[in-house]
Amino acid sequence: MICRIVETPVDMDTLIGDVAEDDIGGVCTFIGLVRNHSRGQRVTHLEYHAYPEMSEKKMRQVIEEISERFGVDRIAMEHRIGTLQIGEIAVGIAAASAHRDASFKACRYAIDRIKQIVPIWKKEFGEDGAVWVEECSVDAETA
Amino acid sequence: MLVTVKCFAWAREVTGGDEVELEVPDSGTVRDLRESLGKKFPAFAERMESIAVSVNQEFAGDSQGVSVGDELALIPPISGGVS
Repeated sequence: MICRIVETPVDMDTLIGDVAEDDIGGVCTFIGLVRNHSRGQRVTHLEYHAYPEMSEKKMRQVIEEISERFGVDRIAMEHRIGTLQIGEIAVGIAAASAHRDASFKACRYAIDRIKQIVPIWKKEFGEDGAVWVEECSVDAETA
Repeated sequence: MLVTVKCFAWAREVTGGDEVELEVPDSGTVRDLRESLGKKFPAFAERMESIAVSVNQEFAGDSQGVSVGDELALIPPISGGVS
């Protein structure tokens, strides 16, 4: 299964192809895009930074947690880093299961958990300069 | 002992580099590392509770030991986001 930090555009077809097999009845995907506004300010572009080795390790942890919680083993995820323009894909997730309910749950859990424990940062660039978006202090007890 | 600690995002801007060297006692802990960090860079001391520390690519509590060979890193709050 694909689980990686990339510096190139996220290709959802690749992620979907990675999880779809003959015994799969549903694939749920999540696409995180670069938005043109944040907290009332216009955003011109974003820079994503990561601790790449730890990020991939924590993404694998998310996949393991999903396997334990939802019995879903076919999950692919990519997070892009570097400079991204408005409308580009920052993160892509595909979760596949025999029946749709589990794939929806897996996909939702994946993006929420990534944002809690995977060491990736974004810097928003706007008309008033640049700011690190720091919304989630990591709790060592639960990460 | 002198330990090398990786810096990312905001932490990198404060320290001015990808890594920072910090003096911590032999058999020291993450708590000692934080104390050393705060003395060297007051900007960290002001918001230490928001900074996580990782040891060998796992988030670590303050009582965890650190040694020279460990891969250590400072993890400022991540981007999170409104769900």
